[in-house]
Amino acid sequence: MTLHLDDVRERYGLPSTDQLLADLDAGRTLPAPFYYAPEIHQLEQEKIFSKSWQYACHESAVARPGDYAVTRAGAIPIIVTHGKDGELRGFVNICRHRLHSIAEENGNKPLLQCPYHGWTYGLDGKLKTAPRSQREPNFDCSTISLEPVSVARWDQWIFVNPDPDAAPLDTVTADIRSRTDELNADLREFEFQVRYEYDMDCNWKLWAENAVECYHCPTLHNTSFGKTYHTSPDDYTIDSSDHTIWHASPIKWLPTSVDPEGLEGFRFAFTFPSSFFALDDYVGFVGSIQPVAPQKSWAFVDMYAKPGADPVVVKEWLDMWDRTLIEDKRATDIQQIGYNSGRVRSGHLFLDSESPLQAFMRTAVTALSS
Amino acid sequence: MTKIHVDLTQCQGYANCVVSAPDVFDLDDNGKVDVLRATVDDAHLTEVREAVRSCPAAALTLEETTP
Repeated sequence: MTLHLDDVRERYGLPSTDQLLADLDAGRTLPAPFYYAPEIHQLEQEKIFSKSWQYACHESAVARPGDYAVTRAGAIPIIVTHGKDGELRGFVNICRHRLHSIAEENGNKPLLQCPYHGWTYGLDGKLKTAPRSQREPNFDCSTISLEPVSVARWDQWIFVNPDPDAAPLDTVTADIRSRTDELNADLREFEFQVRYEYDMDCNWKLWAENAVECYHCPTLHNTSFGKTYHTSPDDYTIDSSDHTIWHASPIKWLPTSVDPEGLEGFRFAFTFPSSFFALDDYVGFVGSIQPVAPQKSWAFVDMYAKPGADPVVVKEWLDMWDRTLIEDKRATDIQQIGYNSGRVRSGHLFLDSESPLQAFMRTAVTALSS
Repeated sequence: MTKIHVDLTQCQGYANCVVSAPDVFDLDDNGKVDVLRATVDDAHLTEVREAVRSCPAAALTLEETTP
């Protein structure tokens, strides 16, 4: 049975979609059940993560024929392959035999062999052989393929959408492309340093919402992000549209004698529901936040550094970002307790400082109501 | 010199050999092993030995021949 927001609405006493959108316009946050109800989690998998473009991997992971990279889009395991014909393809990373994954790590092979019973697929997803299939009457490998998903490039980043008939990535990112073209051109030169991963005891939206506003930066990140970048409303640029959010801010402080005046500063792009990339003059990153359970989520952030940049600053910045993200995790885990309390139904939004948050919530409600 | 022998009556299409030594083995249209080169050079000897060892159907054997 397909779940519908109306079913959830009744159970948790949620207002109509029109009312939810009107409340957002008036500066109310989404009601608390959006952040703990198992039905909302399930609905998000169906309505958001099963049909949205999400970051999969850097292009270098699938640069050569035979390369494959594994990732997830919400609850759906995904594998991206580089075929012998040069095509990038994406599939649900689930064997059609007994639903084991085809691969658990990135690699390079001429064929994709399920490690469980050995069903073996081409890089085009077609089943080539299944051990002992000759002993099964009427078994025809040629009728079986991995389930396809959509794959697209966003500059050097590979994005996937579990919907094989998804609208092109460009249609949802057009508003921000002129800005990210420049950002990604700079970030392309950067070199991978380290992956940070965070397991959160909070609904994924709390962490994503935290990532798209910087009203919290002067307080929560007083000794990390807020020390490094200008975070006052006059210095910190925010802009948002239906599916994309943009932040930019000058560097305020450096651990060296360099004058921040001449530097480009911080630039950050987010695309709904959960992917983001950013850089400044020293480090950059790309990452994603994914729901694990109604009140559990997982984020990864791949850190890059500009070749030749002052190693003192790079080291400081890599550490600063980890501290910033741990501060975010602590805050959003604690927010979850507040959302679960049942005593505060919804919060207030400051529409000047938190407008991207309002855009994020509006897009989420609209998707869940579709 | 090392030669590869295949017993196609034994091959059950596990494809372990292709995964181990993709330059030497492939699958034919029937899902059975296709040996791309009958003799093994030194560069591929380790992975071919692994392919032979890992064949669950014991369809592959190696013959060491003196030059």
